[in-house]
Amino acid sequence: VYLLGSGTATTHEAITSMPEITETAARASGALAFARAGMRPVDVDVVEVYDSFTITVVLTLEDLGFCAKGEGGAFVSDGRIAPGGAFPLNTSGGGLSYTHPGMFGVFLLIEAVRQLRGEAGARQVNGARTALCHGTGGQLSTAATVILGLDAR
Amino acid sequence: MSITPPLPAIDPDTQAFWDGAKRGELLIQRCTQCDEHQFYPRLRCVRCGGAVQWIRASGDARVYTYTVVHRAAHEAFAPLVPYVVALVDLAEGPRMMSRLRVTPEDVRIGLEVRVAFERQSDDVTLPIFEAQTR
Repeated sequence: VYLLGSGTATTHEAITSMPEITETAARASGALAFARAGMRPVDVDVVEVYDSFTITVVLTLEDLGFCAKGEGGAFVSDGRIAPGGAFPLNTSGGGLSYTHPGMFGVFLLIEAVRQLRGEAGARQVNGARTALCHGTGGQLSTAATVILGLDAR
Repeated sequence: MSITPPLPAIDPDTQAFWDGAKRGELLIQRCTQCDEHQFYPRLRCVRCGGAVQWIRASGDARVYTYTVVHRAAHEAFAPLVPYVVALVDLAEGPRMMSRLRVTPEDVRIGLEVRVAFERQSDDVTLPIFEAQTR
């Protein structure tokens, strides 16, 4: 598994200092990672994002460019992110459905690598060759995006 | 409230703010160089690095966004549910988080509010916000 691109960004510390409460640092970190990987959101097969809360996921997907701002709720509806759905997201179950012991970010990377190696068992996304992991820290403050793949670029 | 809620730790950076709250004054910082207002309290101006001084804010604010808490985060807050926690934009500019003394039915984005104070202990009086009455 290769690291194809990564990006980090920070916008604030306290939530009261967040420049725009519906836009996170994922916008900047995602743009960096995609540019460095030479990829676009449509090129990603598996997505693993930090899910401290439901809203974190919705904002992150919007800011990474998987859907337009304001459309994240509809985007994840109707089974699209369910097992077998069209948009493989948090295939381990995520922090909300599986476990959140703190420092959950490494679990995102582990799950992505398992998917890319074809070691994910019953939850395997068939044919997965690229994956994106995204961590959020602070109070929606800091963002780190990593894009992984089976093919060196 | 019969059960003491978790209270903020007061330190040298925030002492003036809490002293002001005890007197019923909402204090924020203003930069002596660029006149920018800031809250929460910090050692220097986050915009230009200049020295800051404390000023008394008007106490007028407007609701930027809010959430309604139905499940108390601490047993001391249980008698208050459902209660409103909001980000309010002070007339001077800074945004702060506070509980509102406004019902979930009456709160809305853009609501004009004004600071009020609730004593919690000998050291801590909390600023909260209530609807402006004209």
